[in-house]
Amino acid sequence: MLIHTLKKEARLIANDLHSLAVLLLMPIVFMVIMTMASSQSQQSIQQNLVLSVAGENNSQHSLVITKLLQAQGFIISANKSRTEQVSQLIINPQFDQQILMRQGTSQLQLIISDDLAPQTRLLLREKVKACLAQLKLYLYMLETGDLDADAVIDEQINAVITASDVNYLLIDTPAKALHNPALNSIPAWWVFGVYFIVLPVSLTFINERNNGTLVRLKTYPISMARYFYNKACAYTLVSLVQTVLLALIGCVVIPYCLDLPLLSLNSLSLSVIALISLSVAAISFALFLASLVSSYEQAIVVGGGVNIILAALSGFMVPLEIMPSNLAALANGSPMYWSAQILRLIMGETMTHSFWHYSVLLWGFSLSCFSAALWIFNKKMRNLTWN
Amino acid sequence: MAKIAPIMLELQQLSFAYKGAERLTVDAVSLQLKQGTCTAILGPNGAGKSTLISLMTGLLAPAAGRIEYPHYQQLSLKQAIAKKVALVPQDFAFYEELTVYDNLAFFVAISEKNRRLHAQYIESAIAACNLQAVTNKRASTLSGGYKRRLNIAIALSKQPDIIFLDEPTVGIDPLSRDAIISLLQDLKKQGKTLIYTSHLLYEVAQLCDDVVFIKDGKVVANQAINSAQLTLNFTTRNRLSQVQLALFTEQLTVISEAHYQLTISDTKLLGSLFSALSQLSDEIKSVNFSDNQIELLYRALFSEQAC
Repeated sequence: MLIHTLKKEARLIANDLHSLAVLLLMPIVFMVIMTMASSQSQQSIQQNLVLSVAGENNSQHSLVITKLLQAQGFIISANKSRTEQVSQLIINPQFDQQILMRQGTSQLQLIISDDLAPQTRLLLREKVKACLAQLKLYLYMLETGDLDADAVIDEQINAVITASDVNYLLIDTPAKALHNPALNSIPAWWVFGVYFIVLPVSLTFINERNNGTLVRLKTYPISMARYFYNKACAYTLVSLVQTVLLALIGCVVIPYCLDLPLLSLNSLSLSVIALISLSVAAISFALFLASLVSSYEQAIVVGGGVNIILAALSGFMVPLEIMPSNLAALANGSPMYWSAQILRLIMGETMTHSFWHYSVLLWGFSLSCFSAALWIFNKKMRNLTWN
Repeated sequence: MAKIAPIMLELQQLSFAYKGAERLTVDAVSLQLKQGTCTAILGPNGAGKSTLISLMTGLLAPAAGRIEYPHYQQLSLKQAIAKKVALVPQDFAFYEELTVYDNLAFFVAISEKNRRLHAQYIESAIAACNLQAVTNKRASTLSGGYKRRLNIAIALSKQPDIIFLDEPTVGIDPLSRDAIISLLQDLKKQGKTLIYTSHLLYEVAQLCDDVVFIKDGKVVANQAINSAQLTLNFTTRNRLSQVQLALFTEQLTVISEAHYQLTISDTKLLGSLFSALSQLSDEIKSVNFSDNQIELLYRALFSEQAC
C-alpha cells in the first residue's frame, strides 16, 4: 500500500511539469541567480574602489593619502577626469596647510555617482575618512618621532597602517562564508525550493477532495488516518529525492559553473540527519498548509505567500546582517532559517552545537505541524459526504 | 417457480439531521434493494438524496434507524461497505496525471490485500469497460466518454456487489452514453445492484427497475417501472364534469383543475379511449402521449418546487 502510494505520488509529481518546475527548476534558477548576484556584488565593490584623484597631487600629503587609499584597496585611476564609473577625490589647494586645523571646512571632496548602492557609497566614504585619519596619524607620528622621517614612504605607510590596524575575530561563523558567496545563497534557496513542495501537496489534496476521490476512498478498506500517513511518507521520500538532487546541483554544479569553490558536506552522518530533518519539516509544514486550504487559489496564495514571507524573514532575500536588528531577530523563529542554518553548518569548516539546536527546533516544528495537519484532515474527512 | 432475488440493502426508519438544522434531512426512510436491480433515487435539489446516499454508503452515521446489508451479515456495516460497495461519483474521481492502468492499480492495491489478484481485477475492469485501447494513456488525455468509463472501471475493480452511481453519463455524446447504459445493463445481468441518481429521467426509465422519489427527506413515492405502461396527458379548456369524466374507463388521475392523466396498461383499450376523447373534442386543449411515466410522476410530485 505504501509502495503504491509512493509510486502514485511520485508519478503525479513527475508527470506534472508545473510541480517539477516548482520543485527543481525554480530553486535551481534562484540558486544560480542569487549566487551570481552575490559573487557579482563582491566584484562590483572592487570595481567601485576605482578612484581618480584630482587637485594638489604633487604635495607630500597628497602623495601619502594616495598611498593610504591604495593600501585600503582603492585603485587610483590614471584618468584624471571624472567619469560616471569612477568616483573622484578632489584635494583642495590648502590641503597641506589646513589638514591639522581644528576648525574649518574639509579639504577633501569625494564625488560618488548616485548609481552606486547606498552601502557602497557609505563604504567608499568611510574608507576615505579612514585614510584621512591615517594621514593625520602619519603627521602626528612624524612629529613625535614614532615614524622615521628618513624611511621610504612605503615603509612609513606600513607603519601607520600597523599602528591603526584592528584585529578582528569571527566567532561561530564558518570561515568559508567569507570567501564563498555560494555558501550563503545556495542553502537558502535550496531550503526555499524544498519548502515549496507545499504547492504540489496542496493541489493533490484539493484535487482528491474536489473530484470525489477522497469520498471514494472513504468506502475502501483503509482508514483515512493511515492514508494520510502513507501520503506523508511518500511525500517525504519525494522530498528527499528533491533535496539530494538540489544538494548535488547546489554544492557541485552551480559553484563549478560559476567558478566558485565547491561546497562539501563535511560529515556524512550529520548530513543525512540534516537532509532528513529538512525534508520532514518541509513535508509536515506542507501537509499542515494543505490541510487548511480548500481551493487552488488558497493553495497558491497561502502556500506560496507563507513560504515567501518566511524566506524574507529568514534573510534569504536580504541578508540578515543588513536588516534592522528587530527584524533580523525574527529569523530565529523561522523554520526556514533553522533549515538553512543546519545546511550551512554541515557545509562549514566548523561544526558547533548550533547544529543540534536547530535540528531539535526543526523536529519540534515538524511534530507540531504534522499533528495539526492530521487533526484538521481527519476533521474535514468526517464532514466529507457524497457530492 | 421464479427465484426471489435476495435483498442486498435494507433501510429501516432511517433518519438524519445536520447539526443546527431545523428539520430532518432524511426522515424515517425505509427501503429494500434487491440483487440484480437498478433503483433510481430521484428528487429535486435539496430533497435529501445525497444525504440518504451518504448514509447508505457509511459516509454519515444515522441519527436513528438501521442500515443493513443482509447478504453480508457476518460483516460489520463498515466492513460490508469496504468490501462490497463501490461509488461512482459524478466527477472524475481519479488521478488525471496517471495512466488508466496506474489509476486502476492504485485503487486495486488499496481494496485488495492479495497481490496475486491485482492483475486479474485490473484486467477484468479494463475488459468490462472496454478500456483496452487506452490502458497506457494518461487519464487527462482521454475523451469524456473514456473518462466516464474509467470512473466506472475503478468502481468495478473493487469487485463490488452494490454500486452507487451519480449521473454517470453527464457531459458525454449519445454513443458514449449508450455504451455506458449498455455496460450498466450488463452489470445488472451479472447480479450487481445499482443505485442510481440522475436528472436524466429518460435514462432512468431505460435502466432502472424501481424509482424512489424523495421530497423533504421523505420517500414520497416508491414504485416499480413498468415499461409496458403508456401514459396520456390531456388538458381541457374547462374543468370536466362528472358525466364527462365517466366517459373514461381507464385509470384517470386529476393532476390539476384542467390537467388529467390516463394510465393505460392494455393497448386494446386505446379504441374506447379515442372514442371518449373525440366526444370531448370541443373541450380538449392538448393531448400528449408518453411512455415515460417517471417524468410525468416527477413533474406531478415536484412541479411546485421548480425554480
